Amino acid sequence: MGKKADLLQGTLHLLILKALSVQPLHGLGVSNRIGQITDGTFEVKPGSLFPALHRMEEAGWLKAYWGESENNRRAKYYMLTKAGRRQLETETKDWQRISLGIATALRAT
Amino acid sequence: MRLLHHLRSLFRNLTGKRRIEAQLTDEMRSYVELLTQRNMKQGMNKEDAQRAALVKVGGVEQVKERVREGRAGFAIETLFSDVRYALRSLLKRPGFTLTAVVALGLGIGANTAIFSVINGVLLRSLQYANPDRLVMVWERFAQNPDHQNVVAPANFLDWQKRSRSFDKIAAVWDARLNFTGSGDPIEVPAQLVSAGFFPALGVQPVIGRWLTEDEDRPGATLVAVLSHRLWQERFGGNPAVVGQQVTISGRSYTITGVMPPGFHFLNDQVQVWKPLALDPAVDQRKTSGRFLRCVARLAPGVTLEQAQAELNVIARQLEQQYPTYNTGWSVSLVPIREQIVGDIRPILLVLLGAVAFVLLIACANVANLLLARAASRQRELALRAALGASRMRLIRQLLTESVLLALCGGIAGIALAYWGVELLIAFGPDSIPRLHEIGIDLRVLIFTFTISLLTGIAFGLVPAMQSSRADVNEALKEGSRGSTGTRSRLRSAFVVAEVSLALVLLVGAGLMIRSFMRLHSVKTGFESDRVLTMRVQLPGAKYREDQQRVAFFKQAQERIATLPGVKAIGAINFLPLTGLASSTSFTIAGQPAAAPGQEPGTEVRVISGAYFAAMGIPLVKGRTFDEHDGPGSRVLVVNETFARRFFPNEDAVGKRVVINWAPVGEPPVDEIIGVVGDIRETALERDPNPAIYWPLTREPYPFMTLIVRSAIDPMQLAASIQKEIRAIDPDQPVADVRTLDAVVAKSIARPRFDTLLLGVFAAVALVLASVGLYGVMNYSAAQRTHEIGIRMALGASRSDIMRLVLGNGMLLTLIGVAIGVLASIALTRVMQSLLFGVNATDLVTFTAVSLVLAAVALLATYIPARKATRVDPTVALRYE
Repeated sequence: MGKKADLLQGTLHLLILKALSVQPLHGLGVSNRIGQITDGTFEVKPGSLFPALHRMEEAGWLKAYWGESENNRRAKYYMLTKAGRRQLETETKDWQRISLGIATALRAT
Repeated sequence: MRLLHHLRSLFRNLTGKRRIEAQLTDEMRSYVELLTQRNMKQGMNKEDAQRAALVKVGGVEQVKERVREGRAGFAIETLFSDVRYALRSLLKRPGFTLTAVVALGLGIGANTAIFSVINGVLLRSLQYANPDRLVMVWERFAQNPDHQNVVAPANFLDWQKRSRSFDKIAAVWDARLNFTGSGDPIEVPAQLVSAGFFPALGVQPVIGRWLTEDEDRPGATLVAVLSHRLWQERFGGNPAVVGQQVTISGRSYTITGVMPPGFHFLNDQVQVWKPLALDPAVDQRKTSGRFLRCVARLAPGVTLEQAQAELNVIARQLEQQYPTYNTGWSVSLVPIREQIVGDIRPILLVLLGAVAFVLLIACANVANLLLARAASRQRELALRAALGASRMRLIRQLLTESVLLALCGGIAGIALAYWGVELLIAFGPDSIPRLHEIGIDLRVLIFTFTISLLTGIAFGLVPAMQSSRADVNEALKEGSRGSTGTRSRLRSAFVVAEVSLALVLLVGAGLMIRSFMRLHSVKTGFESDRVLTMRVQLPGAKYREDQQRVAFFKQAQERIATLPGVKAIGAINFLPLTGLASSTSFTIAGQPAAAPGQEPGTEVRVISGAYFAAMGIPLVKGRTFDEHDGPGSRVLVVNETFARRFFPNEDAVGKRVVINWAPVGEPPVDEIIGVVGDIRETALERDPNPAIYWPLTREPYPFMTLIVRSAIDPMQLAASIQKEIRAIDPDQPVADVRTLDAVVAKSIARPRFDTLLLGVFAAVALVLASVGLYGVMNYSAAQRTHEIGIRMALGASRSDIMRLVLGNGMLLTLIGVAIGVLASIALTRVMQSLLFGVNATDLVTFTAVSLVLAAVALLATYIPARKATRVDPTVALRYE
């Protein structure tokens, strides 16, 4: 495990959207998935995760429902809405542009 | 789309709050459970797994709080919950809440009342069209450059002809006319105005029309414009009044229009305007002195400075053209707003400063109460912090409480101000301009709301920062007192501030009171008790001949003299202390004439009957007038100042002087037959001027004020005197029936009123400051019960304890007094123009006020100190 990076607000949204793009997950699932897909670079703490999930739900990107977890416990699941998928696309494009720009800037002498 | 979602969430959050909260709790619980399970899978036992899960979450309540903070409508919701919480906590301590609301209500109310006066008098715009373009035009005499001198008709006509700076210039002459419309004849204040008057002010009549230029000529049809009030009172607001005939001073006038309600120019009593009708064909410089007031509207694009420069040139031309009349005379322009409010601005600003101080003291008091409360709320706040409230959140909640408190104070303040403004209008002297335009309007309400908010933040912020800083661990420990040290230092600082603010106010009030006492003790020179005065103005049309006027007043005085209770009766043209006087220049017979503009001047007063006896003015030398001094006699009486100034070390009686009064021809030589005592003629604060007296037979004025000295209550004579007047002429009204005492009182009504107001504010400040001091001393004595118990157990006597507590209080007081004295020296300088016979750094006032404040502070400290000495050491040592 390398150094843990601090998450920018926008980055957290993007990672959550990405984590949910395959299947609906509950809170712990989302933070596990983010850990997996970023090779452990980011560890999302509950203090940031839950406020973000709720805000994104209010924005209409996520929909929540109560379901059964893998060991038969009740848990709140989040899934992407259509708006959420569109948001994922836009944010992905934005991020690619930004990272390209920053990479170019850093290469400049 | 997103907005819609947010709105839906907002609605859901605000309405389904309980369900959402329950779901959040469930979600967090399931998260912890899932995490625990995972930990157990990794080989931990159940307890360890659960603890590890909770540690990872880092405080379930904190996470929930952060989720809440992110929700739509969080701000509104917090505000609601803060307000709810604040209301609950204020209601829980009604004593504290009531005390704070009363203190703040006093402060805010005083500010609102004074601001509404400032709003009505200084801020609200004048009712004229573009009032910023209006200026008053005065003459100025080189020997008395600060005096705004009334204008000579001839000079007014020349300015009108020669100047290009004005759109319109108009002349106004205040007069009193006898008005006979429907009902009893009444004497009404009126203004004789030149044709430019209404166009210059730019105010349209509600019905009818203005006066025209053709009507402003001698011999034109007689027309008049009525005030709205006279129209309502005398004609029931009937619009058919235009074109109707009324009798004014014995002649028939056609009414051309009615002005809107409240319209007035410099004198809000005026009921009738009629043409001045100056005759351009007459050389006014030969026939009259200076008596007009002029107003002008600046032409478009012309500045005040440009207009002044042009008028300076014209004045110099007139000086060269008419050296005998105009040498030393120039022109001064004054913006009309400054003319109207310039006189009252200093006192209003002083009062505004005073009420701001009262409010600051109230703030310091409430801040102190809050600090005292903070001690008992320490645990509550620490608990909230432990439950996830951030420091900002706590400060916000405490501030909500103090702002709510201040808004309650604001509501109490508006009620107080409403009542205060009524009082101000009822008791305010006439000399406050636009007094009746004062009221509580939207601007005043906005002002009050704003200062309430600011007040709430001002007194709440320091205590809120202070209490929210509390260390959770310390505070939650049983019996801990938290950071008492800083807090008591803060409270002491507030008390010192209160004492010094109160001292400044007391010094201000003290100076005003001393100044007023000086003014009040000025010797008028006459005896004002049991003297009745009333003015009689004979209409010129009916009493055209000199003999008619003389005969009327002679007959009136003879009839009144026979009434039972009358000791002496006389009359004078301008009643003393009403601010009016005629004056002119003169030469001493046998001495070479002084250069133009350098002649000595004297007031001229015309009297009749036993004026000196009725007024109680002593005869110093020679004799007064008797029945032999008829129209042809050339004698006069002078006052002591005249005699002393122009005939030092000589007997003035028998000397001969030439008074430049006669309109045509060479003025005659008069002989001085007597010298009478000086009186304060124009105002109490002004030293007597040289004055001469002529008998009415010599200068038969159409208006005289009767002076009746009585053996009984003078007001009892009023009805029978009026009956005698009507017996001579049933159409003749009398006006301003009042006692001479009332005349004197009215002449100092403004300073009395100003002193009273400032005194009331200072008294409020003193009470608030001493209550604040008492509160702090009481609290700190209670805090030190334990310490005092130990001291007493170790052998300290009651007087030692007394000294300890008193010393503490007096130290704070002395620091406050010292700061206050320094601040007063810096601040009271602005009051100098309001003071009469007292220096703004008057040592007596400063000393007396400091002593009074120290004495009150001593009393406020003594009560808690005595309580402290009653401490029973055995009880005190067990205390907490």
